[in-house]
Amino acid sequence: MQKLVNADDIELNVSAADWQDAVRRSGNILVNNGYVTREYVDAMIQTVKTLGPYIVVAPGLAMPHASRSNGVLKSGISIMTLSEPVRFGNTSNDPVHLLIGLAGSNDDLHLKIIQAIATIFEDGDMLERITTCSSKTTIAEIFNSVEVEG
Amino acid sequence: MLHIVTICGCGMGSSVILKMNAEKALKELGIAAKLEVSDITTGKGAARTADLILIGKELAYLVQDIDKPVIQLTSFVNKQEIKDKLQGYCQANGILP
Repeated sequence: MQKLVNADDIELNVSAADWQDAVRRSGNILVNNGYVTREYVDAMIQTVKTLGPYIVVAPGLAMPHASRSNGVLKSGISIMTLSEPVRFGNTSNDPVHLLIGLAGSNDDLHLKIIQAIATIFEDGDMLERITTCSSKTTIAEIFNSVEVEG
Repeated sequence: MLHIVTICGCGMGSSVILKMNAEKALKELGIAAKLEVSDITTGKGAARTADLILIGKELAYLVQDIDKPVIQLTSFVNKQEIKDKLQGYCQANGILP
């Protein structure tokens, strides 16, 4: 089976000054792994500035991303836990402990990644499990072992 | 058949999760539906032909001017919230008893 996540995609206990800093850091992981261009990271921040903090899709979980045309090179994600949570201004789901940066190309891999995220976080305990996890390998395994419905 | 459009900012992240969870919930409820993902730019056009719009609470202001029923979700991954709200809509509109 195709791996969705590698240990290099993950950074744990990152210290971020505020939401913009957190989004930038999650975007930088995407840049370092060749998923997106630098411009994409600016667009990730701009998306929140333009449309609001809707990227906080569940309690404690933000999924920063921008449009494909903003500089996606290939599909992938970054997974980043914060040492201290940050607030995005989302009335229902702040504060954020976990950021999953998305780079979505128009392909099957992106769809699989999204399906995996949807399946993983159906389990309400999963956020805490990931944010308290100290092993990148374990987190990668959670994403790579998820059974995705066809 | 119920035609539902899920909308988010770019049409590639949260709206896709929303669509997947809504599909599962509708299957459990036994409701046949056609679901479509859209970003906010093309979403307004897509929404005009749909019966129902699913959107995150924080983006709901963007579809205020569209004269279609809207379900707002606080969490995109909480299947129970999606299922409860879809069930409520279907009951209110005679799709479910």
